[in-house]
Amino acid sequence: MAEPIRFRRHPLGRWPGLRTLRALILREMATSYGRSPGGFLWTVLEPVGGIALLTVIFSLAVRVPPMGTSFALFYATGLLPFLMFLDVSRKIAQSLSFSKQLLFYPGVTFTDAIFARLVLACVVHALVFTIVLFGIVIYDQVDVILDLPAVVTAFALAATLGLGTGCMNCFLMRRFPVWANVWSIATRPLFLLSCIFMPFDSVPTGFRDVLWYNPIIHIVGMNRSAFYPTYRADYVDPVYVLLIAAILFALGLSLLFKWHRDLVLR
Amino acid sequence: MIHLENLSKRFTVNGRTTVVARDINVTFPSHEAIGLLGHNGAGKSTLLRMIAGVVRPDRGGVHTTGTVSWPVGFSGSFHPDLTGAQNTRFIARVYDADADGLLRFVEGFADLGHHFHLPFRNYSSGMRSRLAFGVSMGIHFDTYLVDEVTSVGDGYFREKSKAYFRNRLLNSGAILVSHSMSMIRSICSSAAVLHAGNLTYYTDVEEAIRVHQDNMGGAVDEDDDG
Repeated sequence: MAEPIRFRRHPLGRWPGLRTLRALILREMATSYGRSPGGFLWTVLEPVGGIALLTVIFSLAVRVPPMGTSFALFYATGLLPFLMFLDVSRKIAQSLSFSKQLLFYPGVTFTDAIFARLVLACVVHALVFTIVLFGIVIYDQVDVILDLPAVVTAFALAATLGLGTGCMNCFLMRRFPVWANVWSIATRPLFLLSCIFMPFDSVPTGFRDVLWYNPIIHIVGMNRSAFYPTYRADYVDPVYVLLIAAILFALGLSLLFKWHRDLVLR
Repeated sequence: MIHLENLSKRFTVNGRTTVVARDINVTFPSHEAIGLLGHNGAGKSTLLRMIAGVVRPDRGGVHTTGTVSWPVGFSGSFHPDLTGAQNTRFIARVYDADADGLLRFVEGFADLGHHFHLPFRNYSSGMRSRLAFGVSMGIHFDTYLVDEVTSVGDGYFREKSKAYFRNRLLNSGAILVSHSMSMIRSICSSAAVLHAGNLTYYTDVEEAIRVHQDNMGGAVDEDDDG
């Protein structure tokens, strides 16, 4: 009779989290990008479609983009971090229901499930960023003086805000299922209110003071200032974005800590 | 050794409260196959999950020495979109066991044929329990937690799983939930009865079964063929 396989180490010994994280990431790659044909391709095509549509419409309506010479680059620098924020927050909000079966194993905690999704989403979006922006720079033949630290900061801010929002939503959506509908309706206008197809500076003053509290415009502004050296984006305050993200993350995570076992069983 | 200390747990669903554990203080010895008896809905599965550490008790705690398996049952623990092989690989990664070795073992044990490489959601309940039991038998634990899984499947498979299970019990302990008294009699060396939130441990299996049947209102529970 075959002997059972022994652990190489004690299963809950050193770094169980990292090992579980790796297992979850590999699992996730097999399920979220392996199910529909060309799974990863759709993730790239979504922003490309949006950018193409905006480019065509606005290049017919106005002669020059609000910044630089390339319509596509202007919309891409706004749309990419926006879509990344939405995708990360949605992925994390669904992480409990998505990994429900796997939380059955004592070695797998819900924080592993959340961070596995975060890591994978960041890698995927970093690839999308690179592919789409490189494509535009080559296609439109723009000379870009890239401020790489600013791009990375904008990217990290989008990921952090997505993580915070996702954690909070993860709790709210499982505790109050109707919240999923409310959230999807409430975020529809975000597309118009996030300064994707006009710079923040061209918004009328009275409205601008209100709009400033939308954390996404800071991320978009930061990202644009990295691609357009002449664009100063003085209004951007990364600390404000981090503060919002940290509050949402701390609140969401502590509520999940208290409730997740019961929420999973629901 | 598994020590339950002041363990309390209750559920409230739609305003109705079910008490699973009410200040339970019990110590299960190591290397012992223990049957867990109780009527449907008494909370045996929840108790197993608390021992595994998947469900948190309201108060009190569980102290274990050695490794404890996840509660092996035919529902819940596999991801429907992954194939049997991918699910097996996932568990091997989580428990840091040799993935290829475990795959070979499960493929040979569960006898799923080409279904082993098809998504789990298309499995029949018999195939699900074969996979679940196969994966857990493939990994060494000091205590196996088994939830009703040994009583599913055809006669041949049941004999085979019993044989493997007995073999594992030479080196490990187990806590076994089953409604089949013959299964409990043939495998377990002691038993515990969960009734109305109280858990009592009996070193004599027959005595536990008698208490359990009294709790059930004298209903004879021997209708199985195990």
